[in-house]
Amino acid sequence: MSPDPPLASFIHLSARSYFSIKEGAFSPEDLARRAAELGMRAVALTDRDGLYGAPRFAAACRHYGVRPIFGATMTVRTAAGDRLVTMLAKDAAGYGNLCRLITSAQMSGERGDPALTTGQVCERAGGLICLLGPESDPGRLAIQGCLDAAGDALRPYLEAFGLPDRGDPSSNLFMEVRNHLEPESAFEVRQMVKLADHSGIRAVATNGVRYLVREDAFLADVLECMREIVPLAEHHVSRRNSEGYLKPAQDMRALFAERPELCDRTVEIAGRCEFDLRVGETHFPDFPTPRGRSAGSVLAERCWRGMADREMKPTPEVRDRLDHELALIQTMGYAAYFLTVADIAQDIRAMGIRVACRGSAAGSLVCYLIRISDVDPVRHGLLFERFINPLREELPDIDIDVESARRKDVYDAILARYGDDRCACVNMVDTFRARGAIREVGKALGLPEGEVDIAAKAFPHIGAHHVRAAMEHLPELEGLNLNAGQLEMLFRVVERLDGFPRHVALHPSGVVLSGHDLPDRVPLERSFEGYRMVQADKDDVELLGLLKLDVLGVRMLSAMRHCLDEIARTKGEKVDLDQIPQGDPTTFELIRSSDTLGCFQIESPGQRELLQKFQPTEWSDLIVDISLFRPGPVKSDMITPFLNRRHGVEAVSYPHPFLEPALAESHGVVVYHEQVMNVLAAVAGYDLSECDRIRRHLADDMEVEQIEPDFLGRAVARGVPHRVAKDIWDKVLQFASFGFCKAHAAAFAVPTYQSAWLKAHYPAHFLAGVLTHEPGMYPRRLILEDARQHGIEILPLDINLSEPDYTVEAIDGDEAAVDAATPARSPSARSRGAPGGYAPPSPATPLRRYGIRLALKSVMGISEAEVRSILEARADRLFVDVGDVLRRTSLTRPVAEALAHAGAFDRLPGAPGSRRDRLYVAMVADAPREGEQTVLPLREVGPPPGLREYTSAERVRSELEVMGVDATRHLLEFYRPLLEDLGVTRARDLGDLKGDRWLMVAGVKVASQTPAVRSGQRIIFLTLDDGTGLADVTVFERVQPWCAKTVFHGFVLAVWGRLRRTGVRGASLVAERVWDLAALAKARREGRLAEVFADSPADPAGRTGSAIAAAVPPLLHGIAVAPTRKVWHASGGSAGR
Amino acid sequence: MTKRYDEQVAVERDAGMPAAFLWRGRRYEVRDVIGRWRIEGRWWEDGRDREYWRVEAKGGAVVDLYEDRLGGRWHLERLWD
Repeated sequence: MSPDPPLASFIHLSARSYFSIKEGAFSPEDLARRAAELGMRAVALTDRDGLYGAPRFAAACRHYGVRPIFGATMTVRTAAGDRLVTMLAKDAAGYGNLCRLITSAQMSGERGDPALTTGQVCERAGGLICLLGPESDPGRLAIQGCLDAAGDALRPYLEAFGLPDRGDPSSNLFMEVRNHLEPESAFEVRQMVKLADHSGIRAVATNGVRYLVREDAFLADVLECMREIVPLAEHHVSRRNSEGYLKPAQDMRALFAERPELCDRTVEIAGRCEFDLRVGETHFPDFPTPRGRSAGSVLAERCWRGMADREMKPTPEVRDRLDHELALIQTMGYAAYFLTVADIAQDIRAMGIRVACRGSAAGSLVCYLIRISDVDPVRHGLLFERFINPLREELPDIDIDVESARRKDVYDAILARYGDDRCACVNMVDTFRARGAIREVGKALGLPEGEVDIAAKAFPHIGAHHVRAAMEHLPELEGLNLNAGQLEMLFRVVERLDGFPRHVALHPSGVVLSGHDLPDRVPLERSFEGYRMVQADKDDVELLGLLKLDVLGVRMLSAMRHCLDEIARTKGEKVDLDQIPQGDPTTFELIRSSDTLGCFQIESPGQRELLQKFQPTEWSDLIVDISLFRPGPVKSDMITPFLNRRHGVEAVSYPHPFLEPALAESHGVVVYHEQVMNVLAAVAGYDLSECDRIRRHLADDMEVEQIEPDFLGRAVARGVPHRVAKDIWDKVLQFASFGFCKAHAAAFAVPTYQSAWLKAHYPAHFLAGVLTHEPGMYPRRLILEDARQHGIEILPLDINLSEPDYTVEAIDGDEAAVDAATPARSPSARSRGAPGGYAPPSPATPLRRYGIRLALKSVMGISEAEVRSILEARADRLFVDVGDVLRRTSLTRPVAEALAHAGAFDRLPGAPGSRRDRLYVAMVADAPREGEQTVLPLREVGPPPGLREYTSAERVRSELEVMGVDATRHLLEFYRPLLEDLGVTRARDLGDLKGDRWLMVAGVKVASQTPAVRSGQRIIFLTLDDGTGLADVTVFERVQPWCAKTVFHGFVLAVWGRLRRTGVRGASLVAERVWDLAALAKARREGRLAEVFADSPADPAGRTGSAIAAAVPPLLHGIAVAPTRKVWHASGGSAGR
Repeated sequence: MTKRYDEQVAVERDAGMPAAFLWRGRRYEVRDVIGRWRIEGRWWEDGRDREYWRVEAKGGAVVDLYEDRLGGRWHLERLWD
């Protein structure tokens, strides 16, 4: 007697995933998968006060063929405490109400403590089904035996949900009955059913699912204890058994065998919940247009107006291109989106904030004309289809860069202008990673904190499920005082927590631009920073069909803004970066000499090496340069053939003449995605949308197999011999994955060129900007050194003169004399290969000497309020002595001491004595703040104690301690005697030396990079700064066993190796040995220097002969001639070439 | 009131449910199953997995029996009088 199939079924209507943070122990995707495995036709996801999981749940349900039911478990705050009710969306109106309910819950009260009152929950009942379970107010009262009180608590729900609702004759209110087979369960079930019967509402069975399978129940315990921050113990864990899993239908039926109608109703309710999120449908933003006009016609008009403003000639090519783009935009419905983004960009510019477009959007003429992008795509051969095309599954995504320091202002402006209901930030779910998981789980398991900490620290930031694998390679874990069982348990939990959300944060850049129905599509909450934020990350936003704009804060834009402001302040010049000439020779001279520290995209050691080899001469060269220095091109070695062909070393050839038009710009080498698209179009006659689609799928073997016959067929039909077509196809395949998006590189080239131009013409102002906003990879101390190299004086920290940021000051004196006597760059700057100094920007502007004043904000630990108090007090009158500073500012003692220590008080007119005296006063003076203690005078500190003045070494040390920079002298100067003993070569001299000779360099480590390189071996690029310039060092894998640790952990290093020429003036040292200079200095003091060198594990002398030995100072003879302990030919020998 | 014993017993089952149990040398027939629940957990210590049956023995005594599913043994935990 098998039961009727529909009756045998059961639909789970209550399940909380891991988006019910530290509560549910499974992903929404796994819920869909498991429901499908169990043969269930539908399943509900009901997370706590959120629909974070809804989009991916919908997508997964579609994938597994399960019907999703969307709901949420709402927190209801009552006088007796927090209670929970389950809401399920029947239709779109219900889903909209659910979104709005969640938004109200999230927006009211404290962030992270969402709750509604019973009244609020009942206010938006339309289209919703409400389940009152054992955690609800009425349910709890019933279980406590207070059926009458429960009936009273039920009344508001009955009024709101108990009545028929728009064509749905049944009540939308149910008692939710659970039986977890706990000792009290039988009684609770009876009470809940009794309450339902008394109140005339129906009951339905659920299982309050928190884990999918019985075996995962332990995760629920850990999550619960982590949530409550209590150690795992019986009395801290709410579950008594493992029954709260996604039980199969027959087990649920068996559980409620006496009341099968409770299970039948799950099927009935599931049938009534018809809402579908319709993943993949796009919802366009609203754009208010003048009466009757479509967004498309407004966009077209703006484009034509923009063409006039940009002084672009409407050639037939341009007209066709524009018509084509507009038609595509119109067909796909994106016109309002473009208009909205253009308005936002305009707003940002109107706020006086620099804005730049990045990414494939720069390939659009429309974007150029309406000033979203500043790159002319027609001139640079950029393709619209690389950005938008009808065959792409993804929504277009425009990225704009703004000044990092003003990003919040930009966000505020966008959110304010576009109102509460159609614009919000995107979230970013922070998930558990190994370290964090180990710490939290270790605490929950009650393991000793110190041991857990060691275990946690031992792990690099890897996904938690790699923990075991990492363990096997980490000897430091062996010494731990954790027994195998404890570690096993720790890792068993940690492994499973991988990918679990930890908390929800603000995405750094995404802003959703939508219509006024946004609050009905997705719940909103407040980010930690107070921004309105959708309960969706960037992938969810895409699934929801919402368009977004990425607003990225870019430090370089802030640095350039600071530079422009400083130019205006000190020289009264207003520079418009959008109007500077594109082919400025001075700028290209700077770029070719690779004097590009601080410049956007082209300052890294590898880039500077490439610049030297490449020798760019025009704007479009920058696009190539930026595109070549990417993992893809580097890996596939496109750089060498490109450079050889460019410099005429190698003849330009094309895989096939067909490819010449597409590849001529890069001498036959495939550099760009756009070229791959053009090749496909030229050979097979595809339209560019199709080309873009094919290019995207070229990495997928399955797709390639399908596309190839089509490509060959089309090519042959167009008269290309099959053999040739096949050859081209193979070449395209080979190159396709390595190219870079040209539009992206072209967009980057704009700030790259602008920053180089500023550095060439206003080095002091530019570097002040770089120092203030730190846009690049180098530490401040190196930028200061770069400034010194350019003849810019570093002016000391001064309580009366320093501004919050790094500022430029004209150096006093006879201006004319200074102008005549001082070149823009010091002679030593030639070491970087710059031929001569810079010409002044225009003959009318006389050269002046400028200095950069150290910034107040660079003092470690100083607060904004303290900086402000200095400025305010100083505006009244300048400070006279230390007591005056302490009285009139809100400086805390440690900050005052730091200022004294770094010499900020040295030039106070009323503070005689040494810096140590002033520090003493700052330390002991009893200084009542103004207005705080009224009459107590500054306690007399007595006569200046006459302490010893700081030595220059102490000055530098104090600067490093307080500001992290060596401002007065270069750090390396203190090693001068040692460096002389070692016969170290100065960085500035490297460019003049022949290659292939052995020598030693020393310097402060300013950068170490390990980019992907074509051979797959790990190469460390190291840059040392010795005060005369930069020395680039390459550390190959072969020597890393004895060098890597020092390279990574040392600060001041000495490197012995072989010099390799890399360009006209470029040179790089191939490292053989690396020492910590401080250790060498210690050895020297102790007279053990020779021992250190004698102890060298390996060296090249065996191969290079005695000539080298003769060329190095006696001390190094040890390493130059010592017998080799490593087999040399094993290294391949030519690693350095 | 209840009295706690937690002594091993032998149980005869019928259709998965206890039908009789042997305690201190006497056999008690089960007249009715009053309740059933399950206690698991403490996986971080010794672990535990018990299925409890509250049964009424012939003669009116109510006892809590449990099957220790890890050890595979039955216990009489409590006697209700």
